[in-house]
Amino acid sequence: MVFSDLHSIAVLFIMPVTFMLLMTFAMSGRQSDMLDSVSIYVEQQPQQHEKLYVQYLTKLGYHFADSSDSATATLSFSHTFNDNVFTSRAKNLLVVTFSANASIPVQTIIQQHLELSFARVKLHLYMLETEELDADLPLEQQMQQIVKQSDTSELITTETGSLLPVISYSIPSWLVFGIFFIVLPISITLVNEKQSGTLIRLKTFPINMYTYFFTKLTAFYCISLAQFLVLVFIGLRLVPLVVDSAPITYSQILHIIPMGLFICFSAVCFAAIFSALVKSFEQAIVLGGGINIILAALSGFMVPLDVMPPSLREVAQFSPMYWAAELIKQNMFYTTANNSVQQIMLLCLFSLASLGVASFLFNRKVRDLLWN
Amino acid sequence: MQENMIDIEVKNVSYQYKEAERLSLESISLIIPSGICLGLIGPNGAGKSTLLSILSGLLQPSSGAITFTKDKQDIVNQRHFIQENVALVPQEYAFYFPLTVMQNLEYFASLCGYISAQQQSAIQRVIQECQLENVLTQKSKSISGGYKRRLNLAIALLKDPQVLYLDEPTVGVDPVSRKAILALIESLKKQHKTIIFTSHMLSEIEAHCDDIYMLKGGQAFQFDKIQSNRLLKVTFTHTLTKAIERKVERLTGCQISQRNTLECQVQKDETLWQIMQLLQQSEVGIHSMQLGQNSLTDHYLTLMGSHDTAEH
Repeated sequence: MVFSDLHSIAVLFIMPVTFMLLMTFAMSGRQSDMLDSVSIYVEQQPQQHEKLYVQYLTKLGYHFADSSDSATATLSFSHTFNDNVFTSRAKNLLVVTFSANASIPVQTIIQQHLELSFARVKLHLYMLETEELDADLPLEQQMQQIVKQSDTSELITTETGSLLPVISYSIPSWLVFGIFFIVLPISITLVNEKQSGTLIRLKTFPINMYTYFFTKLTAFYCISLAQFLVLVFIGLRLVPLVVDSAPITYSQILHIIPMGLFICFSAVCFAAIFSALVKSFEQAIVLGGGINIILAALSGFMVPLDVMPPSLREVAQFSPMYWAAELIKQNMFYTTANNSVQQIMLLCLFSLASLGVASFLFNRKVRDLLWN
Repeated sequence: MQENMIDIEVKNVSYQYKEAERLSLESISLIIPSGICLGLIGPNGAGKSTLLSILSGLLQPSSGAITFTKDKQDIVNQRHFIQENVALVPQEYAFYFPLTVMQNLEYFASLCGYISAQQQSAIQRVIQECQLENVLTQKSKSISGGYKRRLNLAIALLKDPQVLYLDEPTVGVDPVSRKAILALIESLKKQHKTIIFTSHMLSEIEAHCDDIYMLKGGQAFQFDKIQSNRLLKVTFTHTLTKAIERKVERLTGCQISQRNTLECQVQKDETLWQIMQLLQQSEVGIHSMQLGQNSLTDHYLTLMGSHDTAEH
């Protein structure tokens, strides 16, 4: 039935795949790509050291706007800039004003680049004074030497494998988000059965209503597992190809698939609560969909957890979506079995508790059934 | 003696919903003998749905009791009995629209606890009874309203129930399908199934039900098809004097309108003869006398009208 219902297919397959694609693509942008859309406006014509400062910014990839209206940030040099830039106690040599459109990450990057350019200008002036830098060289070559001198990237080594591809963040999150949306087909099926009188009819059939409810949940569990497999394949093999990232291997996928048993179980049990609770399609959409979106936000799917305040990060530790996404991430790239066991235990406990609540609510729903 | 004789007795059943100010059902008593078709009529909110909910075991009466007896033996486990022997046909289409007609029948048959061969036999039986042969492979949402009603009924018949509750089974269907559904009801009556039939189509109730109850304000009024719909109308040649008018009204219990017409619902033959005698004794001239059939609609309107008046 689910597969003949276009809305269910849209919710279970099309929506999560779209999210996976969009979010992975959105996050795949490099810093240089980000700077393509950033421009800076300098209020007064730069003089002397100010000019050098602006040239270092240009070297970092910034464009300069003709007016402050179209600029991401506006720079205003202090009139003491040229005299004090090289002194150790200089303060407030530059005032930066961000436009309302500048996002927090872009502001942070610009701020870091402004500081880096100051450091380079100071180093440049110092090396000229100590004659370590040949003043007769063309400015471009001088700057190249300074950039080389201040380049610290070679001092840091990133351990092989620890730099995760962008899909490691976006795919598990949006895959879990899609899996938990099983709440809509389950709730809508039960609302349909109640409103059409099918549930009343079934109550007079020689079947136990609990058996009926759990059989229905089992059927949805199978659908959820199928959805998991499809989304894992699309998310981890096909989406990386679209966003020009390396797909994960089939052996990594084999690590993830058993996790689907627990993730889908928790999603179906959680959905069972809402299916037993809601009385109308509107309630199913608002309550089921709304709670899922809130949980996803709290689990760090929309805004990464590491940029959230600590109190919100703590909340995520209680979210089944977070446990499920962590379970996938851990089994995609790591082999620390202990953490997986912890997430699995949490998901199982959550599932059993949800199933208990759902059974109670379903019993009440069936008990209150009336002939319309 | 015929087997599977299921009688239902409703004894002084009252029901009040939580937070409701008045009783939805007020001390209702009725007997539904095995194999009869009982019609339940009444305006919306009269208590039909509440009574059907109680008869289906969906609600427990606030007071009073429902007794099911099978072959004169009281049924102890009513819930189990209802699941085995009673089928509901809700007014809504209580099946799955995305499935085909056949898939719906197979699904509901699988819930009846049949073994495979019995299941197939039950499906074939209801297909034939409800004349669904032409639409078996069609999606249930795309078949006509008439076929949807037949499928609704067919699903109820899958478990071969002895008692069937039909809630407006012909509402919104074309004449051909209506005829087929009503013919099916007649056929079920011949199989000695007990049918409880609610409808606002009073002509259908009158034509197909053996016993009819009207529900109004939580109370049930039995409508006797043979006796209670006889209306005696006598027009006198002259205007009656006040004294004779009062005497006639007192003796017959009937009202005289415009002081020269007597209208009377006659329930028993004995009452009819008493009125005749009285008129003879009164020595009033009779211009015309008519004993006619009062339709269920007339009776319904009279009863509902008098209750409306009483309630106001």
